[in-house]
Amino acid sequence: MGRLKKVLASFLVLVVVFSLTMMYRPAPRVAAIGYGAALLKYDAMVIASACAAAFGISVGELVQVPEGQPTWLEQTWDKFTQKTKDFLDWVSGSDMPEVTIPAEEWNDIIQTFDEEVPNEGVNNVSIPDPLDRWCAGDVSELPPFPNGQAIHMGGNFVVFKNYGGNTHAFTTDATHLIYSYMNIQLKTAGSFYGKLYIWNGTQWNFSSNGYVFNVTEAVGHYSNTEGIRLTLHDDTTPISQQTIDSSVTVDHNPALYDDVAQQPIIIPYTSEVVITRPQTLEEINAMTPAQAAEMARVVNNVVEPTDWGTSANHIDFTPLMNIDYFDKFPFCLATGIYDAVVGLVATPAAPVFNIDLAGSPYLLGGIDMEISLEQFSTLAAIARWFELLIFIVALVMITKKVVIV
Amino acid sequence: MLDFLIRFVNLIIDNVAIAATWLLDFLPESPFSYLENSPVAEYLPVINWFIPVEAIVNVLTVWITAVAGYYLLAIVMRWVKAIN
Repeated sequence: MGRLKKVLASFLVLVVVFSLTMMYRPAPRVAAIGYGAALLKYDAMVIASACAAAFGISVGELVQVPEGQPTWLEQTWDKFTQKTKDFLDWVSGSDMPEVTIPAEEWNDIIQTFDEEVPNEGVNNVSIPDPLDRWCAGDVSELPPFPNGQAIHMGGNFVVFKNYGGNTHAFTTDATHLIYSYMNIQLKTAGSFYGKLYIWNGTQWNFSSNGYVFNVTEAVGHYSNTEGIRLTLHDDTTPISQQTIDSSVTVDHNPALYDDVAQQPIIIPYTSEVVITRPQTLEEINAMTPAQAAEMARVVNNVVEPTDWGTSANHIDFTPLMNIDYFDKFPFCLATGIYDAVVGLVATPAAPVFNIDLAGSPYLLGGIDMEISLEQFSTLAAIARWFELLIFIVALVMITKKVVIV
Repeated sequence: MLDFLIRFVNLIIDNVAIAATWLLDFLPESPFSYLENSPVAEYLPVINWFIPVEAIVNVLTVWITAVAGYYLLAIVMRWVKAIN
């Protein structure tokens, strides 16, 4: 029985130390296992565990991409290609009709929404820009627009990201049920705008701020969030940041979805032609390695190296590291204590006492009195220093008992 | 061959993680999740003005880590018969 108690107590200590040290760095984690070994008296077994832990920690960091495996650039390109395919599939797979007609007939297509979109109370974010051109506020501005504006081909396609993950995100007002009224899902709206540009747009532009970069940015957001804000600008010249800013600072519906900080992506209309835009997935696959490398270079801010997912060329320990040990008892012991103690940390502030003497006929004629210890801050800092010194000395004394040399 | 081994190890890791998650689901939830300092939160800045809480927490953390490291070293030393 005595041994059982010892084992259980040791196990508890092991769990606490292990949990605590898990929060910091690998070395203490291994140390905790060793500590448990000492307590449990199963030296060889737990030393093996410690070695395994140390090995496991190092392997994931040290195993390099073997020779002959795809380089980072190649993997980046593959990732980009896949995202582009997904995006095209996504656009072409929706229920929206494919837009293949000339630009001048766009208004006719837009008018197909006429019978379904209420003209009043919905298009509430019409924002004229400083250059007296219109800027549609967001996707709640689905055509027809309030003042009869038209979408002309060659206009800039502006994507506002950071729109939040709400599936109703393409209205600025939760009380505007345009999405339910029209049974429009974000995918459909995205398809509308996507086809506007993907199928009738200009050519790829490999400049650093050009079409490829921005489309892939958009692809990333399409694939990662349910919410995205789209705006069409009726302008054949690149839109300045100032114009974009002016269009988003006017907010007729504060505290709603569109109040997330906006960092619009601008896909400018451009006549710059480097390579003809791929029309099909086969054409994307047929691009030369040089073109692929250039595109990969352009999009390397989109496809992060850490975004590879589970790869065959390195051992991935993240599934083990992502387990929520600390939400469960007894692994939560250390974190619970730690969080409770850390929760006491705050920015020091001198106490201020307010004494209400109102109504007192005896003291100072009934006034409020404020006593602030701010003037003693220097003394308080000195006192804190000595308190810390005393704490460290006490810790040293305790250490002599804990650590038996 | 190496690629196959790495895939195999990754598969084992994935399954160990799944099994561990399944086992952890049998454990009770943390009773400390409801622990909060809100009743005293208003006074924490003042307490920190008198007592160096942040410095104490930092020192204590490093101390615990150091002691744990010592025990690891001790067990290794004992294992290699360097100490009794």
